[in-house]
Amino acid sequence: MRKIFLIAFAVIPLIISCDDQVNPKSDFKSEYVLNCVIRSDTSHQFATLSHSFDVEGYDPYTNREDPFINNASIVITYKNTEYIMRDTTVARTDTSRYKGALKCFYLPNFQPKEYSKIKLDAYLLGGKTLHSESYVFEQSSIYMSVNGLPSRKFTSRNLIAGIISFSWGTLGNQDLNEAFFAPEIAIVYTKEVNNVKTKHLKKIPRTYVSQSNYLPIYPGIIVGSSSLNIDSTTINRAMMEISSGDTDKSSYTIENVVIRLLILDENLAAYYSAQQTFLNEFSLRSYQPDFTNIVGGLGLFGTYNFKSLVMEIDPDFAKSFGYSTP
Amino acid sequence: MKNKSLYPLVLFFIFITLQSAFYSQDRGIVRGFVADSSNGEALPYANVFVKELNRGTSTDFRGYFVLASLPENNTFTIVFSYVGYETKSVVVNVPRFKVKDVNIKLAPSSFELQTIELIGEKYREENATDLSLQKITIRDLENLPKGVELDIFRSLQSLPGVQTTGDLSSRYYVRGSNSNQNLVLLDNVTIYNPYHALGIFSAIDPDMVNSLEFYKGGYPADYHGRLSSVLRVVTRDGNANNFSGKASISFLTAKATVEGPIPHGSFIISGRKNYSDEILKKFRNNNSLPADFYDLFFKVNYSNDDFMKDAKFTFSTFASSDEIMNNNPIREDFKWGNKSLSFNYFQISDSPLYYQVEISAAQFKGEVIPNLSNSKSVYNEVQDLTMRMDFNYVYDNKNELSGGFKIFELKSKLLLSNYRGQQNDLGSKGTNISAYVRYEFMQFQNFGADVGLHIELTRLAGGGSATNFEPRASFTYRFIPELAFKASWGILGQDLITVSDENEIVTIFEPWIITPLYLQPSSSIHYIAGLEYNPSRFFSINTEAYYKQMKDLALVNEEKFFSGDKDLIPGKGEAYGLEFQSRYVNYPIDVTAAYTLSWSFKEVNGEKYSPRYDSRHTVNLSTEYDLGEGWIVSAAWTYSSGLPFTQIAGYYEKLNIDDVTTYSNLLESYKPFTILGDRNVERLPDYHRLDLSLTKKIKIGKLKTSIDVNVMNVYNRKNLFYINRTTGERVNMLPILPSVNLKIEL
Repeated sequence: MRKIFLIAFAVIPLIISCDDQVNPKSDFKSEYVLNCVIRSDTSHQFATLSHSFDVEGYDPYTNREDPFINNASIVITYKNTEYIMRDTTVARTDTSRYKGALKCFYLPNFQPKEYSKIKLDAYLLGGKTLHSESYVFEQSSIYMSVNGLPSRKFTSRNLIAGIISFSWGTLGNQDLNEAFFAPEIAIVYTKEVNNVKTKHLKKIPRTYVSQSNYLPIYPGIIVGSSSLNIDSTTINRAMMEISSGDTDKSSYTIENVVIRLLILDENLAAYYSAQQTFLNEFSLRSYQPDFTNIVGGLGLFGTYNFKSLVMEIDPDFAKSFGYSTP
Repeated sequence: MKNKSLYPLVLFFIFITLQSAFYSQDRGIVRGFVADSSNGEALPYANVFVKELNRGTSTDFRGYFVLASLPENNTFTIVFSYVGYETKSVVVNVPRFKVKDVNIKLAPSSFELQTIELIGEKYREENATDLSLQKITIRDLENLPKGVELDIFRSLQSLPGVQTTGDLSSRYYVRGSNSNQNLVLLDNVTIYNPYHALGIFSAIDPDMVNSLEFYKGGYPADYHGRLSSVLRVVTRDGNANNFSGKASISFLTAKATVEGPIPHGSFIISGRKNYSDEILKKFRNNNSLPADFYDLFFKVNYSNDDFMKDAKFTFSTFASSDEIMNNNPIREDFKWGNKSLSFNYFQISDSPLYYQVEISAAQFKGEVIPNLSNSKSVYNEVQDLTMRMDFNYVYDNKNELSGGFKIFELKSKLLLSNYRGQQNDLGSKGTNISAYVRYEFMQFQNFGADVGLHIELTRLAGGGSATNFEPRASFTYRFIPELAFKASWGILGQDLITVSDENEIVTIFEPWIITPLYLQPSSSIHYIAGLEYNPSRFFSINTEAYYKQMKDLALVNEEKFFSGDKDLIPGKGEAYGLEFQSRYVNYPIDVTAAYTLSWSFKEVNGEKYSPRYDSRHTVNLSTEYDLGEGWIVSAAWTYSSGLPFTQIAGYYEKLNIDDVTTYSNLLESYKPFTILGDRNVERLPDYHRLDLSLTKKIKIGKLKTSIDVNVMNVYNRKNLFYINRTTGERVNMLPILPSVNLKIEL
């Protein structure tokens, strides 16, 4: 028994003094990253291509070697027509990490609005190719109703527990299960100070959560539904918050209400949601999955369409808060 | 298994029943209970030894024993002994055709550890089929270093084959299986989330516990529902003689126990509440953990021969609750808790038969309340209602037949926000009906066998292949008195799973759901063999080798990005290893050494990897020394070779979309993102830690006081917990942590 103790006492200090070096890094993995979001609200489409990089240490923000490249050929295929993107550079607004202009690709005069499959191919030097596919969705009509009755005017003051509904639909044979909607409703108003009017937007939340104060919850991405209901009390609170703490209500002029609807493809919606999802503060992960729909590399190829609707606001409704109307 | 293949099994059980019935009709049986004379509490695993025959048995977790196959019309001296108690001998005449009841009360000895049991003096049933079974009494744990305070799950981690991922969780992993494959039973009731404060401590207060039975694998047919292990926590009945109370305080919790007699029974109430998060901060690198938790236990039992002879009725309830409330609307809050209720009727009949009927209900609720943070909401609720009946019959030849059935109704609700913010309910409800039969061959002195069959007649999710057979077998052959070979084999199933992401190093709670119909229930096959060697009365060596295959593991689909993707995907696993444990007991010293060599693999989507709890070598050394006059010093040293982790393989500029409705600039919104290497191919540095404890027990009149001074991580080893990938910051586990416990008992 004594021998066992002696061996233990001899071995334990050896183990205690063992080197505990750990290398958090493996061999560098070379990847190409392609990002392209096709938008219907512009005729200029952009794409970026970059390569992975490594840094000394663990802080990737210390990287100063610009990973963006444009020595490749990028082709968009839409409705059986191939569009070749041009390489270009764009001045950076943030030059804290990379000093030079951003290398990228652009395609002018391309504004797809019809529902169809769309493909993206990148041909890199050395024969490497990246590929992705998605769908372009058509624009949607937006409707508003107050307590179930169609309405063109934005009001809620006279409603008791009223609901204002915003609904939308898509055209053609589009598969609604693949489309995702991101609605935004904002009150456009001006505030006059010293005879100078400045324009502002007040986003209307989906609801307010009552804690010590009222906290807004915005709609985010809506799936499985083609409508958004907002309680009249939420709208009234948003209207009140425009001039919160300001006794000079008449210096506010309510212009109108703008409803914007983004119709995202599944890839863009998933990418966005995956990015927005992070673990609660107490959970720690040893492995973090990353969304990509680029075959042969990383990144995102997505599309979105856009529709906006300007709604007239009921003057009596605006005045009931003490505000002016145009 | 086709029904026809069951015929041999049925014939087998008919045969053994008949042969046992005709065997040794002229033999007698002595049975009874062994209890503590000071409080009437059952003494589990006490030695019962027939002097004249040089054989014996031990009590079970209830303190119940049966000595069968005794020559009738003979007088025997039966010796009852238990660690810390004065040995008692009684002379018993074994009558013909009658079962002799002998109930014994043992008095605690004045100097507890002077009567410490020597291995050679501990009566071991030579043919006991107890491979992979650890029977632990609370007394076994009390003198070891406790850390902040005694914790039954942390104590299990010193056993060979039981792995942990570090100081920061009492979650345990048995023989290469995930922690959700461990069944935790409080008496017979499932506790779904038996952890407090992010898993740092167990929710079961040791003061309410009498003993633990821990099967590391190949468990017998009366248990089911988990792929890996079973921990059965047997609670105390309460002081049947006098009203007594106990209070203790540590740096973490304050707790109290009140117990006492009632007419024909006893009760116990135990409660624990944390009062400071200072210690919890130490577990989180001094980050705040606004945790608030409590647990409560109440049990009452009633046994009145005038009302019902040889019957015992027990009612118990348990509740635990945890909250982490940030009191900040832009931060998430957490709530989780368990509740259980159980009614048990235990009856001993005139023949050597006992049976019990139990009705119980258990509930777990867990909630992540995101408030206005970006956390996703989670709501999990599990409710079960169980009715079970079990019986055990001891034949004259010592063989035992037991069986039972269970009706288990379960409702689960899991509201989970997926990557798109879409809320899904993965919950369902179902009824599981199962039955088991188990036959233990104990008639041969050197050979014992335990064969059983557990049958799942329905699947919780309904539909699918409803009937599932889980045969189990365990054998023991003792070559010489000092050396026994043991082996066991079994198929185990699991139909209730957690949607737990095994990549989460620290997780709030693991939500439970019924395995959905699109997956088969998980199953595993265990092959275990071992040697038990007792070369002297002071020394024992146990070795076990195991091989375990797991299939249809329901794993979280980490790459579920689209609505058509399944939430869970099937995986498979494999684990094998070798365990070694030796113990030297020679008053005043008690030394235990354990070593585990193990491998564990998982495979999902064609990718095979080592799970993050796979440690190749684990060593646990512990010793306690009685210095006399109430002073006890103990030490425990743990070593574990590095756990797997995934390395960084580079970075890339990831397109960042802060707000999809105002998204406009593809050209500016980029942030670096980490590219990971092959999963878990690299290992963290080795883990090791030394804990010391000094205990002083003082008795003044009826007042018993105990003061423990504990120091965790004495040499302040900087054990690596993880490396923050975004900063490269090294996050270590617990630094040196002294603590004091004070316990007062009246």
